[in-house]
Amino acid sequence: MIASAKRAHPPRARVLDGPGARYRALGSVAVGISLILLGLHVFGMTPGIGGAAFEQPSVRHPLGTDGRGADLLALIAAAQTTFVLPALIACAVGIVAGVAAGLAAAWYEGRIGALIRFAAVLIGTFPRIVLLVLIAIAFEPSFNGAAVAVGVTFFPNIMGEVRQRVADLKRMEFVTALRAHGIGLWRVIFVHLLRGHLMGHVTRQAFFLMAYVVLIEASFGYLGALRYNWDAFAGDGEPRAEGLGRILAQALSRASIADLGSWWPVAMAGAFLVILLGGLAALGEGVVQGAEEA
Amino acid sequence: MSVVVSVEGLSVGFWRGRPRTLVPVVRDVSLTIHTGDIVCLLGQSGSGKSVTALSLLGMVPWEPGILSGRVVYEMNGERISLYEGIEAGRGDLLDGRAPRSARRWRRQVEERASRVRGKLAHYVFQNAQTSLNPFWTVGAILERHLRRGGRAGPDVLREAARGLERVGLPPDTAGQYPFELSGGSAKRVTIACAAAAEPPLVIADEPTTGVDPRLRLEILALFRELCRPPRATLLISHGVGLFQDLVSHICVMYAGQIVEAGPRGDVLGPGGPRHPYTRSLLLAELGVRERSAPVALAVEAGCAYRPSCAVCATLPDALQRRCREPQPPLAVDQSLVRCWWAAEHGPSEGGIA
Repeated sequence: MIASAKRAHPPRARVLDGPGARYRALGSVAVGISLILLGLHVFGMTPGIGGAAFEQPSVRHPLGTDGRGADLLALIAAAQTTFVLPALIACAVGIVAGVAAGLAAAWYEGRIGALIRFAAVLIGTFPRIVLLVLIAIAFEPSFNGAAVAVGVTFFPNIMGEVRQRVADLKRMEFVTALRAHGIGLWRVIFVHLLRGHLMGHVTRQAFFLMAYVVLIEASFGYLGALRYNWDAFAGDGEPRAEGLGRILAQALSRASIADLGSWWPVAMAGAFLVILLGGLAALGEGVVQGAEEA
Repeated sequence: MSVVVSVEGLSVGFWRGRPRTLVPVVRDVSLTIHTGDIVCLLGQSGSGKSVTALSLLGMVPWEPGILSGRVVYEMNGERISLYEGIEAGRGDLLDGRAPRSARRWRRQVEERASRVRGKLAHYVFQNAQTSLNPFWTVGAILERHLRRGGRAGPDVLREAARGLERVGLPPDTAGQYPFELSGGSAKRVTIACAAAAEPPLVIADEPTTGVDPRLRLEILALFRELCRPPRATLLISHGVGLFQDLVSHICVMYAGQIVEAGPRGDVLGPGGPRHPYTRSLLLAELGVRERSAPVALAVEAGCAYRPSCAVCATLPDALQRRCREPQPPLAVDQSLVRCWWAAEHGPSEGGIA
């Protein structure tokens, strides 16, 4: 009995069992690949120029080389560093602001709620891509400033979901019962509602936000809007970390496919981008399906 | 016997419509509950029973809520008055404004009520399944109540198992979630929670509503265990029949007012009931229907039961006029009755229950 009583709140879905397990498994594989690549980069795999241009995949270069002769695997591994920190920054900003605003808007439905909803609508109506480009240029050469903007522009999504769910939950009798039994307001909100009911949905939004950051970073990199990509080659001609978008742009700008039949730089970088985005989305969906079933 | 809680002149209302009109749902309610008392708050749906009970915990959900009166808890030399001495903010609420003083008023009530909720008074909700957190196991819920009741340490989980056994549930119920329980089991869990919290006052809102007759008797037996002195209990119910051997006092509510209150023997015994509404309510339990009219929330001065009153209908016009006059509770024997004719017309022959 003691063990069963300890099976407390909230029930947590196991990774490879229960509803959404396939999504979680797929997502975990994708994110796992990304983390392994990050680990390889951190522990010494740097994208130096060690081969011929557009070398085919081989034992020495598992994914081949790009037009500069840089190892593609090392380039993609180094690319992880370009979006991991921005993704974490965007998540921190988006989740904290979205959850706080959503809780406040749901709990205080009067003027405070109206003000928060108005702010969300205002941010939602402003052309997001314009805002992001402006902030990215303002904060270059770092993408971190743009990551803050990504978090801010994503906050209405999180706020909307949290507000709707909390507004529904707070009318339920168990919330009144908790208050009647002497549980403080903050404890009800953060322990019983947020941790107990909303964690799955907030986690899903966090994964979607990470995917969004990866996509934005790749898009900006592809368009050349990020200075660190222009500085990818140091004075010694060695490529430094550059984003997936920039790798794609490099490969395409040299007309590698048409002229040389070297498809792999575009295919490898593109495939990894698709795998990572799909994996993050699948992970988010799997988490929320598990939480809903539980 | 010492006083656990006393309610004096409590009135509760809410705004309705545009332009806003104040609708009183509880009017001038006074009652005192001593240690060991089991008070039954009796009345039909919408008579203000649950609102009165929620007012005891400072939990009236609407604006302006408490209009007047006070609720005072006295326990172990400590005195907590929920609505006393903070009148200014209440005035702002009544004006329909919510400036700072009104917000301060709400905060003060909340602060005082937090010393009462779950400590001095435990509320058992009518719908057991929806009142339990669906994301917590029964064991975790019980554990929380035990800890609030002052229990701590590694024995709490064993205590939770014992608590479940006392209400007739197997110990492995602790690992289940409220939505996995039947309605009867959920009721038992709420009673186990009330027992675990060990409060001086238990407020049970219609504990036997919506359950089958057999389970009703089982719940009654559990309440007998739960409501042993010195614990005081406020039972809210539509009918007294099931509780008549259990309760010590009965308060009958109609249209937000207590129309009759007294010891069980006075209200149900040979001397009672004295108010025509109480009589009508008790007769309805026996299957006898008297004439009735819809309950008006915003009543004029005088007796709210007047349109349905069998006594008033038989009176000549000159005497009926008196039923329209504001009417203080009249002391008849040990009971208080809000009827001008309670003494003259006397009790029902030989009582009803």
